[in-house]
Amino acid sequence: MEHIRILKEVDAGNLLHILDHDLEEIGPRDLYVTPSALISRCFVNIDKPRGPSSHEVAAWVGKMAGAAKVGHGGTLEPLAEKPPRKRCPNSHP
Amino acid sequence: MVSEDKEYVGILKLHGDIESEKVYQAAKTFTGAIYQTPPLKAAVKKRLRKRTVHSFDILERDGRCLLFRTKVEAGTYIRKLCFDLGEFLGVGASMVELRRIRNGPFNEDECVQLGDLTHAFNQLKRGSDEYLYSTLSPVEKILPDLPKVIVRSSATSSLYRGAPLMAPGVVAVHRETKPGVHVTVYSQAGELVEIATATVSAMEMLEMREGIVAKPLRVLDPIPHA
Repeated sequence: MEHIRILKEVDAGNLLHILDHDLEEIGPRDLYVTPSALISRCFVNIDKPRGPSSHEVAAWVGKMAGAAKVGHGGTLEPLAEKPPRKRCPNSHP
Repeated sequence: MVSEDKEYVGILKLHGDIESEKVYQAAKTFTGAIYQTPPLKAAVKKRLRKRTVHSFDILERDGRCLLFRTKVEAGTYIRKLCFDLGEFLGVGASMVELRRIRNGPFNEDECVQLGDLTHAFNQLKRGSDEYLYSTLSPVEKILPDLPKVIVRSSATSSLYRGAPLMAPGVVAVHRETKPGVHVTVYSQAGELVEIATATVSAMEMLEMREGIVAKPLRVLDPIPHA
């Protein structure tokens, strides 16, 4: 995507960073200082084995993480192996 | 996520014998625009839908079992695709194994094993968060490629409470921002605040002195500060 630099204020090295670098330059530790902060707003692309349902795997992950809310990004049918994403937003540790 | 292209590998089993060449040809005819009816068990309305199959390749054959790889538009049922291929060939077929290898930006190579995740949380309990930070990705990393709007730090708290974005809060904006377009709204620190619908263009957003410039679509919970 093409990015612009229409800036209202010029104190903005970091703004250009955000617009231009697609946030790749901002490491998780800059924004998420504590592990629990990261856990509260993260996702993880999980290799779900065949067997347990997406729902079950999401529940395990949520329990491990101590996350209050966990979701998954899509189900596959019963024979299938992998819904590649688990989200664990909003933990209240 | 839900609307992104998906890629799969799987095994389908033919119910009768047929030459490989016919199978390869048939698979080709199932690429491009196809029509399918969702299976009876599906969670959507059972009416005929049009979907695009970007590729459908038979990789290997072992007797009646065929290893295939396919890339499809979201909402394409692979079991149905296999079944329909079988009908087309006249021998019948069913899907016996399936693995998703890509879902939009998420692919198999970068995925995490459940054991890795357990390890990361165990390490955390022992006081080391290195592994956790390398395993979990902040929500900022998975956003669709939408125009970005950056807002003043002073505007974020009202946005987090669900208020519309007002013109004075805007600091920078992508050129592609137009009325009705979905945008991702970030704080100056690079923290995702919400996905919103712009109500004005990029230029207007910067020139307006007051008034609503975007309405919230999906607001995140703020990053908790310990």
